[in-house]
Amino acid sequence: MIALISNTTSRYLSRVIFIGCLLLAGPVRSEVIHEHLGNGLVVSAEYLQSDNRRSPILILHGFLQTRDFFTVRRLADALKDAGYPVLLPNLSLGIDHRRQSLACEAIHTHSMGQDMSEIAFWVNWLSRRTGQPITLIGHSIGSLTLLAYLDRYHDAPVEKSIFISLIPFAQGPIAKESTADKRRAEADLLSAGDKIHRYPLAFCDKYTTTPGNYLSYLDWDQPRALNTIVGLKRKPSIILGSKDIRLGAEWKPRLQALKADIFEIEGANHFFDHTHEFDLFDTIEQLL
Amino acid sequence: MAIRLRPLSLSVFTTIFVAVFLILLFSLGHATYREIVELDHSFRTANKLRADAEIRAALNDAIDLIEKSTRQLAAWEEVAQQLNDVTFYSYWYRHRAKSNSLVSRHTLDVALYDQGGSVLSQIDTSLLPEAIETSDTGHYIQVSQYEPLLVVIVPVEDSLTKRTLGYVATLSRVLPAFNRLGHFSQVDPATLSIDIAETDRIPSQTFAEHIIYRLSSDPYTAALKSAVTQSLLRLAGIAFILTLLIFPLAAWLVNRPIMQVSQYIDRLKRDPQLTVATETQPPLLIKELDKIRVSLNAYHNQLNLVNSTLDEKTRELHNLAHRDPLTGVMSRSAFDDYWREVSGVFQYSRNQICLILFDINHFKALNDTYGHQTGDEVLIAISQTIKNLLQGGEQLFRLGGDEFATLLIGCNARKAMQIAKRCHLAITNYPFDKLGINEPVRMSIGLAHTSLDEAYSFDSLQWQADVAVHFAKRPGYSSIVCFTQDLAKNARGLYSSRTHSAVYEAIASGSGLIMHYQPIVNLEKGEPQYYEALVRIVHEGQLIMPSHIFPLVEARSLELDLDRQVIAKIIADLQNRVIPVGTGVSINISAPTLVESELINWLAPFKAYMQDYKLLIEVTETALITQLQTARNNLESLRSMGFRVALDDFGSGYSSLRYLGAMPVDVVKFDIALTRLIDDQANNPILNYLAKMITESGHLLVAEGIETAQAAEQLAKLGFRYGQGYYFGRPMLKIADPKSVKNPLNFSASFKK
Repeated sequence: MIALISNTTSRYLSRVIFIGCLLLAGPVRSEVIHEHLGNGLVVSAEYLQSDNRRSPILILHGFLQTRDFFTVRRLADALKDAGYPVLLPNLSLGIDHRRQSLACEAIHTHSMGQDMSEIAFWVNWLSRRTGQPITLIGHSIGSLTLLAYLDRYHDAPVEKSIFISLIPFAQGPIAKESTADKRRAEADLLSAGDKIHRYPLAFCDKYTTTPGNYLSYLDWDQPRALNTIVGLKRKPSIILGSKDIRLGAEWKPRLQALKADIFEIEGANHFFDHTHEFDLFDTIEQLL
Repeated sequence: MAIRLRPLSLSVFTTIFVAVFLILLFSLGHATYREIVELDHSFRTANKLRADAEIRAALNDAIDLIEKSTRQLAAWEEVAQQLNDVTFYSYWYRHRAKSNSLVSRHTLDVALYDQGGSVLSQIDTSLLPEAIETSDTGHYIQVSQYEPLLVVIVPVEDSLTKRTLGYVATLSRVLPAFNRLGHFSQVDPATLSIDIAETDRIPSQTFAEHIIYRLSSDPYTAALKSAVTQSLLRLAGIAFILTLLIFPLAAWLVNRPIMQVSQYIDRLKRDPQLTVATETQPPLLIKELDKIRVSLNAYHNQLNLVNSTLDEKTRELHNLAHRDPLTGVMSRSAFDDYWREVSGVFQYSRNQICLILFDINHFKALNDTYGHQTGDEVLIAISQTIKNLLQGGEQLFRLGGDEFATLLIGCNARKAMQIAKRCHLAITNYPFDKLGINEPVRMSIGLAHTSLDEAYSFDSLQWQADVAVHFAKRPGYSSIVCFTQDLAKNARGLYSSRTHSAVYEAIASGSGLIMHYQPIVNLEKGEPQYYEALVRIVHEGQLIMPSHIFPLVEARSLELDLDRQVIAKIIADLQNRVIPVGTGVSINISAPTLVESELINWLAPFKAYMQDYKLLIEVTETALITQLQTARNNLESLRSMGFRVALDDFGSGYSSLRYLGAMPVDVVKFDIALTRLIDDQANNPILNYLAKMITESGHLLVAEGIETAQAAEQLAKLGFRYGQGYYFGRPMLKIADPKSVKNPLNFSASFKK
């Protein structure tokens, strides 16, 4: 089901509701949580607390970004203001206590598996903290990472999952990687798996990492993502922008073919900026 | 003492003025230029300070920029990532360390050091040290190939625990950042250079000292300085040229007219009588100067006019002063002037000169008998008669009283004698009866003429003429006598040229004039009561007596001058206590002096001595004959001053009891001729009665000429209170002790013996 929310009246109505939620919402507090992982890294997440007993939400940022990326930050703030406890983790990406986005050319020592582990850590943390099932919201590759997490952790205390601008690797017009790159990485893995190389990945031309790490991400391509969605116990809600040029033309039809809950926001791009952030929030609010 | 500067000419003044003006002008210009230079120097100093500040600011900005970049690098998580895991450091160093947005574009090298200060991995090409002192973070300058490079070392901290993970160091070029960040307004960026030796390390802050630069030229200041300098030079040039032009123009316009006026004044000095017609002279260019010239002309002409008037008045005054007001002939002073003039001429031109003296016989008697008016008419008639007979050019002078003289130049003795005879004849034939005179009026004429053989004979002409007149009056001589040497021998005693000159000198200067004092004794007590002052003249050690003095004085009418000298001498003697205090002194006053209006003033100094002395004025009886009223007034005034008046020589000459009754006389001095009647038994009663009459009329009597004690005793019995004569003492220069004077009683005793 695809719900097209383009009606102006409903938009204003939702804003009134949003403001009403803000007024009704209880006092909120914010704290940055630092936790030591088993690999020695310190990871952090910002926890936006609320006294309301609404379902806690974990929002994951996009590829190489942080929780301060505006799409997730504004969404988190809005949800927090609406009375939802929100946890905003930063994936470490192999960097201790990472707070900055990571350049493509930086040495990437992280892998999809490590990312999933960190998500699992924070889901457990939030679950313990709130004692309630979790709603997962991801943006872009963050959605893909959450999808991978849900694929690995079937028993995760997750109630809902909302994937904003869900995009797999090797998909879309801006994706640099190709099959040849995958083969090269596979060859590199065999010949010098502990060395770093430069590969195209997503929007990066010179993504610097080890072949294994590279492949861990590259494995999550369009077919695997679609398959995973199909295999999930609870179907995720997928929000897409109608003007998202990063997505391939076939991506949306294929998702629709899975009969997933897909919401397309008219006129929004990959990042739901400008006034589309309100539409995005309205949609999520409705989904919650 | 005030310094009197010599006046300078106008041209010198003008030159000095122009020179001073130029000096002041150039001094002012020089001072202005100096001020500009000093101002420029101060500007340069201030600009240098600002330039130094700009250099330091630019250097600090460059260092801050690079340091900030390094700190941002230290905060970069990839750095912390490398410090935590050095596995891929070499790759990171090559591909990421210097190729990221955090590194300054001036940074040449980056190195990471562990907590111990050792570089994470040695890179051969790295310009940074392999190890650092962890305690010495910060920045410094490292010189490599003469280029200053900034090394900044910053610790890398764990953002969470603040634990030092290691260090990051950057090596950056300073000068590009320095040039880019510098906002140079005082520094000329094109001249920036570094003067520094190859060295590993110098403190960053001292690096500014090695930056060499030149101040940027401020176009406005440079243009202003150049403009002012050029203006000054132009002004100096214009001033100099103007001075060169104005100076001759001013000299032509101002100096030349002034010089013309000056020359004109010089011309007037040379020729004071010059009469100038202003309108005939061309006007001067300058109005004021022309006004001065016109005024000068007017003043000069007026001055000439005044001078002419003054000359005329002077001539009139001269005539008045040199004319005898009574007779209209030339006066005594005119004669003296004329005498000096002729004497001067005579020194060089030995013309024959004749001096003729005219003296009216017994004129005083005539005057006394017929009155002053008649006497005056006689004088007028005689003077006019003689004047009419004198040929052209000869002047008649009234020397005084009844004495006239004429000086004939170029006239020989014979011709002079003819003139004298004609005059004498004319006087003899003159009808004096028309004047009421019933007796013949005769005249004595003395002639003297210069001799060609005798040098300086002119000087003795007057004396010779006096001698000639003297003899002309004497019985047995003609009424007209021409001086001869024989006459001179007979008259030597009376009119010697020696006496003549001595008397003149004494009268003129007081030289040789002395006073002798003869006591007047109280006949009862025998004590000197006062002393009569008698004049003497000492000349060449000899004494000239009054008998030789007074004829000459009277002949020359010098009575006033002699009396003034006598008065001064007596006052001096009183001051010097020559006259004993408590006595007195009697002063002989001549007839002309007695009627002199200034007599009271002349005698005024005696008032200071009236406390200690009795002061008497002695006048001769004959002196009272003329101008009785004036004499009486003067005597009254003197009596009111404290003087007593004594009538001298009573009984001699033209004795007149009328005068005694009419005049204010206190003391009557019987002349010696009258006193000697005491020896004549036949005339004794007359003396007795005369003395008694005068005594009873309130006068004190003094007998003169007492030579014996017997005469003194007899005169005392006749009522004479005082006596004077050789018996009591001769006139002496120094007065003897009064006690030594003979007492008449003692005399009487001695007489009896």
